[in-house]
Amino acid sequence: MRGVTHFIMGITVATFFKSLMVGALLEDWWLIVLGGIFGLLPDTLDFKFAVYMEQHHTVIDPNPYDMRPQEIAEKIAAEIDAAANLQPGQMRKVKLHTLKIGPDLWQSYAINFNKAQKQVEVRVGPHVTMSGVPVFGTEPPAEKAVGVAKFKPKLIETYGRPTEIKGFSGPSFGFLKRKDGAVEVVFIPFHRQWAHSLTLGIVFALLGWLISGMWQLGAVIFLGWFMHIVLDSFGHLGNNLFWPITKHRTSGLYLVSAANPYWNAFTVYSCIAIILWNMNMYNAEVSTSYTVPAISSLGLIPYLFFVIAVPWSIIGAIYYWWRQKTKEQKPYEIFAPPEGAVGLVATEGMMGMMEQEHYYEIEEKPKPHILWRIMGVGVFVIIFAVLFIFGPSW
Amino acid sequence: MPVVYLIYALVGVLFGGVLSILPGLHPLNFAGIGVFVYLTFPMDPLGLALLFAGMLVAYAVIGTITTTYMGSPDDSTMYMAFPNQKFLVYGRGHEASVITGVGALGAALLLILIAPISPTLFPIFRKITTPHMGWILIGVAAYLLQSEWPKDWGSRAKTRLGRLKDGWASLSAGWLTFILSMLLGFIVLNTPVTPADRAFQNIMPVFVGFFAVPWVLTNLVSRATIPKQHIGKDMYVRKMDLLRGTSAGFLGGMFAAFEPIVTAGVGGVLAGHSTGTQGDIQFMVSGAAGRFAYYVGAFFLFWVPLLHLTRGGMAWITSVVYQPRAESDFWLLVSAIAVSAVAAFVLMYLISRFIARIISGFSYTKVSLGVLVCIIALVYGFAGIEGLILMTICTGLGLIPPLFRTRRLNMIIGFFFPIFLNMCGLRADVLKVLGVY
Repeated sequence: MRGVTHFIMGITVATFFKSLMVGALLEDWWLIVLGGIFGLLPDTLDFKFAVYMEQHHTVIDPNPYDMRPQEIAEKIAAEIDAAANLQPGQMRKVKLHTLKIGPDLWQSYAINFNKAQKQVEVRVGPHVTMSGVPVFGTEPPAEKAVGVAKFKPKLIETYGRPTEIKGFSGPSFGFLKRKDGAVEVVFIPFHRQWAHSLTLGIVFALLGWLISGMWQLGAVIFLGWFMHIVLDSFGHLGNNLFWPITKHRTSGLYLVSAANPYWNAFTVYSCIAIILWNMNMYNAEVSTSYTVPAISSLGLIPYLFFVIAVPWSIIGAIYYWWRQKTKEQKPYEIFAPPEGAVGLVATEGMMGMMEQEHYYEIEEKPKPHILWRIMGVGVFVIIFAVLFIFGPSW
Repeated sequence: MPVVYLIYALVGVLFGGVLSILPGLHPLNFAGIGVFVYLTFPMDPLGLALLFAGMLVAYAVIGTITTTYMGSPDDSTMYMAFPNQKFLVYGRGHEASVITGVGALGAALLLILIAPISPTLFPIFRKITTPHMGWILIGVAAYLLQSEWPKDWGSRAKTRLGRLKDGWASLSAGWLTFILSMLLGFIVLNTPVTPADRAFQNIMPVFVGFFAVPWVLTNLVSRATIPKQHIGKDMYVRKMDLLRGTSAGFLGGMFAAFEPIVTAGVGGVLAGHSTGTQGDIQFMVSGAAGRFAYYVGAFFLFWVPLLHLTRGGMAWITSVVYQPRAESDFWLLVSAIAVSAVAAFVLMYLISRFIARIISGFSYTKVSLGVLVCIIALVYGFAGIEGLILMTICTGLGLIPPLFRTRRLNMIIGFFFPIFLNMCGLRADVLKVLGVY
């Protein structure tokens, strides 16, 4: 999920605590914000610290003006082969750099792990802007566009689509030797390890409790952190829950895509609706001037139904219909058909985005057992049920 | 006579249209001009209020032209400054103006659509959220600071420490910008530096220094030439981009309009992150919609029956001469916004076409130099020599983000942070720590 989604989820769980909310009302406390800060902290630690601590066995940093896709493919394939000779549980890591060639211009290239053919495929693309819009006329000639290199071991790869290296910082891949002899591709291996563990969340919570002397503050810190891990596990990548006891990241539950705008907007909206419910309820404890009795008298279930379920079911139906409609369709313009390079650039840029939004529909993706998926959603529901029931007495 | 009042609004559009193409102007200046208009030409207060509405709509729709062609953005247009100028460099400046204009029109449509439920919805929000404003604002600031990610573009340093240093160069600059802006905020918001008779223009030099001047200086250094501009009837956008950009921008703009101190840029980032805004077109549409919702939405909230929330410079100045009384006044405003938005869009289209025709071949250096002279003259005219000094200090601060690739919004968050602290009862403590209390 996006950063703002994690942040507001942390704030939401904090607003269930009566003592903190009444404290905010009577004494201008801002401690509720700690829920949000700790809700976003796992990603903060990963992308501001852990990313720089990762050591790589091979760093791929091609010359953007002399791209050699064959060389890139061979280097990656060699690392996969090297991983096959490791002890189970050990990993080889490869870093791929992005290639900045102007203030808003990047040389793009893509890596694909073809499991069936046992080969790494590299394709050099055109120059692209930060938003991924290609600049026409910058594509390499066909003979310099593709590189293919074979590897030997059986490869486990769950992403299911090529990784495009464009703007920002490039990705890294880990090649993990498994007990069954296969090599597993681990996307950005530094991510969701120690910084996404329950153990570190507990440590922060205990520190918060000890420093403040308020167990509620420790609970808010832990819940903000924990909800981040729960939300993250709904996607493609899982977490390393009991680090340092557990060594590797689990698989995600494949329920939603972390970048999906619908789910992010839905979560943010739902959180705001719940925060307003909590505000209204606790305001009544202090002054009737700041409460709307009609909302309280409506009751929690009807409130959630009418304010969240009904509008988002409608939006969801429209969104699903739209996705189905545009799935096989080239994008089109509202005022004029695309003509010439300008129109093509505009539409091709959009196509890149559409593909990203549809990638979760790739058939070969492995889905965890249904029981795990139900359990994942169950944990989420139970936490909120507990907060709704016991929050007013905390 | 509603028609007469709509004519007031249209006159406001014309007046606002002319003012909007002067780089560096802000609605806070409009408020000052509003006082002048009222004192010089006494008129029907409702008519004057609707004239202000027309001016504000024109500013929200036409004001983006200066960002696109002259590179002088403010806080509300920073969000779209980069894609708009990119379009200009590719000869698509007019198209960029039209796209942003459509975004603003979309926001006007959404504002009109929510008008019937506004008297029910907004008073509820206000009632429930008012006592929580302090921690909400601290939360907004905390998120913006925490959610800035390193921009090292993949450090090539060999050691872990070297990579960490590279990554934290931009983050440290972001924190430095925030802290320096906060210190400036403590000074400027406590003791206005502009002359007493122009105290209401106290913040104008700050905003101009933070955003417009650094951008103009950057353009001066770049020595670019503006290519021939394509003036066609086409606009290459998808319906989904319009829908997502408009709704995200509108939500962000309305949040900023409703919450005190939160600006359009801040609201835009929050809404953009929440709805996953992607790509140049969505940013442009969203930025324009957010800007419209922020400026016009704030004025709209002042008229909403049972709410009458006074937010933004124009609402404050209007409240001196006019207070909405009947529900019919509110609907008159809604009509005025609808008519003004369409008129402003047409005017923006014509102005943009004209500028696109004459600007090609111009040295961007000369255009930027002209803009800089214009900005300096305006700041001097509105805020005096003290304002110019303040603008220069803020320009120094405003140059940190482009030099270190850090977020410009840190300046806004930092500058207004003293007010956030005040709302949480922490200001006195911080001032004690700083040794100024």
